[in-house]
Amino acid sequence: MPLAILIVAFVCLLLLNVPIAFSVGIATLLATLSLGEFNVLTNVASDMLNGVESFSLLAIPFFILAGDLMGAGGLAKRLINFASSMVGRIPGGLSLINTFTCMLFGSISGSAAAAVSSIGNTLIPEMNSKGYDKDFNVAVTVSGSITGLLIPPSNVMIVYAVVASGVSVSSLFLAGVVPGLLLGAALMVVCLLVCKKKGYGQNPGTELPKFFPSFKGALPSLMLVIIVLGGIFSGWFTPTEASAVAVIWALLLAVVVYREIPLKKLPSIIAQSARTTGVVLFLVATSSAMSKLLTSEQVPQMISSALLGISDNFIVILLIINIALLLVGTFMDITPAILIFTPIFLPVAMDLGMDPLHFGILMIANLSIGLCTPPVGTCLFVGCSVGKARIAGVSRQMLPFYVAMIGVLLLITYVPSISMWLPNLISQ
Amino acid sequence: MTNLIIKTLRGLGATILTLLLLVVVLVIVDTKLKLGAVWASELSSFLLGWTVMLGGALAYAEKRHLGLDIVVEKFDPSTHDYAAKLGHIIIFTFACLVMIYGGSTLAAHRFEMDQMMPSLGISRAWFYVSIPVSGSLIAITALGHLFSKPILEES
Repeated sequence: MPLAILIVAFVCLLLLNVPIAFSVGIATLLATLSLGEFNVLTNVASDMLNGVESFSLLAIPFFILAGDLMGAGGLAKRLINFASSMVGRIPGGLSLINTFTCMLFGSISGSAAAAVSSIGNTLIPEMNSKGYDKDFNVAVTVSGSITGLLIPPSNVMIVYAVVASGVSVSSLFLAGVVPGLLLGAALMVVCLLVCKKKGYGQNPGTELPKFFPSFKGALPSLMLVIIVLGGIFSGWFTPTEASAVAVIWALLLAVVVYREIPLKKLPSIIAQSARTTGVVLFLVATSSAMSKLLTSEQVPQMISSALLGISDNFIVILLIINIALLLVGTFMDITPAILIFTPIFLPVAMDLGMDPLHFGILMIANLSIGLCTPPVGTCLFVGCSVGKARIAGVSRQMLPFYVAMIGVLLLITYVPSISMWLPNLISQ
Repeated sequence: MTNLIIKTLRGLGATILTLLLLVVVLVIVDTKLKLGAVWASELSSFLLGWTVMLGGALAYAEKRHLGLDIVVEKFDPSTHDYAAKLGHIIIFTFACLVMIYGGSTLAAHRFEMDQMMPSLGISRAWFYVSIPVSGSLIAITALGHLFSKPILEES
C-alpha cells in the first residue's frame, strides 16, 4: 500500500509540474503517513537534512562554482582556439572542433547545459556561416555536451557515489575517463561521416590559429583538470579538497590572469552557484527521505526478484535495465533519475555480480542520452534555443548520434573492462 | 515580498558559500599541516546544510527547480494557471507541515537534548534550524507565487 501511494502521488505531482524535489518529498510524506508511524513530519525533516550531511557532497557546490567562474571567465573562446589549432585542418573540422571543445568544456565546467550554451553560442553561428546545416550544427553541440558528464570531474558521479554508499568518488572519476573519451571519439566519427556524405566543410580555411599560441592560451584552463585529477589520482587531495582547489584556481584565472570577471561581478556569480547547489542538493535531501522509505519497504529486493524472475541471464537483465533507464531519461533530468533509480537498480546489478563502479558509469552514460532527446531534454532545448532551430529538425539530425551513443552504451554495459581497466590499473 | 526574499537569499547564499570555501581551504591546510583545527570540518558540514536549505528556497523563489512541464503545457492557459496554483498550494502545505512544523519540532528537541557540536561548542540544534527557516521562506514565496499574476510555470 505505501508503495502504491508513493508511486501514484509522485506521478500525479510530476504531471502537475510540481518541482521534482518537492514531488519526491511530498510523495514520501504521504507514503510514510500511510504506515501509521509516529513523528512522521519530524522524521522526514530529519532525513532530508541528514541526507546532505556528507563531506563528499561538499565537492558539488565547489565544482559548480568553479564551472560558473570558468564559464564567465572566457573559457569557451580559449578552448575553441586550441581545438581549432588541433583538428581545424581536417575536412568537416568545425564539427570536430565543436565536439572536442564540448568534451574539454564539459569536463572543466562539469555542466552539459553550460557546454551547449557557451560553445554553441560561438561555434553554431560560425558553422552556419561556413555552409554546415543549421540543425546538424545544433545536433553536434548537443551530442558533444554530454561527454563532459563521463569525463571527470563530474557532479553526477559524486551524486551517484553518495547514493551508492561505499563507492569511492576518485575510483568513479577514473572509471569515467575511457568511456567518456570513447563516446567523444564515436561522436567525432559520426561528424566525419555526415560531413563527408553531405559535403560540409570539405575545404577548411587556412587562417587557423597556430598550435603553440592557442595551447599557451588554453593551458591555464586545461591545468584545472590536470590539477584536480592529478591531485585526486595521486592521493594528494580528496575529491572535496580538489573541488575547493579548483575554485581557487578558477578565481585566479578569471580575476587575476585573464581579467575577464570584475570583482564587483563575483557576488552574483557566487549567488548563482549557491542557487544551483540548492537545486541539486535539495533534491538529494528529499531523495534521502525516499531512499530510506524504499529500503524499509524492501523495494530493491522486490524489483530484484521480479527482474530475476523474468530471466537470470546477465545480458537480458542489463538490457531490461538499460531500456528502463533510457525511458526514464527521456522524461527526467539525470540528477533526480540517479537519486531515485540507483537504490532500486544497483542491488539488482550487484546480485548479478556487477561492480558498483561499472554500474555507475552505465547509468550515467545511459541517462545522459536522455538529455539530448525529446520530450524532456535539457541539452536539446538549450541547443535549439542557442541555435534558433526547431526540435523536430534537430532530432532528425541527432539520429546518427543516437546510434553512436547507444552503441557506446552497449559497449560500456557488456565490456566491463572499458570502465574498470583504469581504476584497476591505478589500484594495483 | 518575493523580490526581497530573492535579494536576501542571493546575498546570504553568496556569503555562506564563500565562508564554506574558506572553511574547506582551512580543512585542507589543517589536513596537510596537522594544525588540529577539527572545528573546521564540523563547521563545513554545518554551513553546507544551511547552503542547501537556503539555496533550495532561492531556487524555488526564482522558479529554477527541475520539473516536468510537458503535460501542463498542453493545457489551455486557464487550466495551466489552475494547475500552477494547485502546485504552489501543495508546496506551501509541504513547507508548513514538514519544514516549519517538523523542522522546528526537530530543532526544539535537539535544544532540549542539549546535543552539542563538540569542536564548535554550539548546539547541534542550530544545524536543524535551517529547515524551518528555509520552510518559512518557501511558504512565503509560495504565497507570493500564488497571488502574483500571471503565474509562470516551473521549468
